[in-house]
Amino acid sequence: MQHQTTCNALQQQTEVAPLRSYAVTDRVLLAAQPQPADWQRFVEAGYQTVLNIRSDPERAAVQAVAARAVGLRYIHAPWPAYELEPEHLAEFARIVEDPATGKLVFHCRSATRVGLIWMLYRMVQQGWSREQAEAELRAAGYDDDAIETFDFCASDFFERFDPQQR
Amino acid sequence: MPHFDQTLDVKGAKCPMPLVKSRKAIAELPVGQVLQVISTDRGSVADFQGWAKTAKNVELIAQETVQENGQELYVHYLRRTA
Repeated sequence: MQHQTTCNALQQQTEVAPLRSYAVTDRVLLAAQPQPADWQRFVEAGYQTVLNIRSDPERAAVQAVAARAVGLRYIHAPWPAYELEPEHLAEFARIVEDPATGKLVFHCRSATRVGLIWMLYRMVQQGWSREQAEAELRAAGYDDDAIETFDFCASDFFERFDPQQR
Repeated sequence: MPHFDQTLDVKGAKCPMPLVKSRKAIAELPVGQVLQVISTDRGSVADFQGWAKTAKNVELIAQETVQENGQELYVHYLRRTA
């Protein structure tokens, strides 16, 4: 089935526009792949740490240099896109809840996978319902297509690790 | 085009859905069989390469780009190896 982007107008513009990004809280920005000019914009917006979950280590090494050059902490955690596990969520929780992290930019390629991880973090680590977690992501600007993706992939996660929640 | 045993159409699906659906489809295939995955997501090219590098039961045999009604399709061929 061919989907269409129907809710671009709802996509929240943040202080780091035009990067596609979603401020789920005042301390966490879920983002697509930042461009070179974005590192300084993050600093100006008060962000302190960048967490990249994309798989490419060479690209991450280049970006780490650029991010650190403007004073950002940079963490590369190449968690698998095809098979999230509870250990990945626990590692994410440690990072996001670490006071040293401060304001966090959490990014993948398209900002979808980080949205999924944020949703699972809310549900698994913080006990939120699926409805609460989805509502937060919608409020941040994610559209229907993204929510459908989160729903499918969250169900896959719970089928494997917590069938009662599926 | 390599030989394949089953096709998974994930046109329109966003990352990580093509990967998750493919992982589930591969699990249903007998070892040795090949899954053809058809995606519209340009990023799926790198995503499937990354999957094949880290997964223990998948070999990426080939990838190709084809045109269909003016749209680019990214086609991946994966063999279940275990």
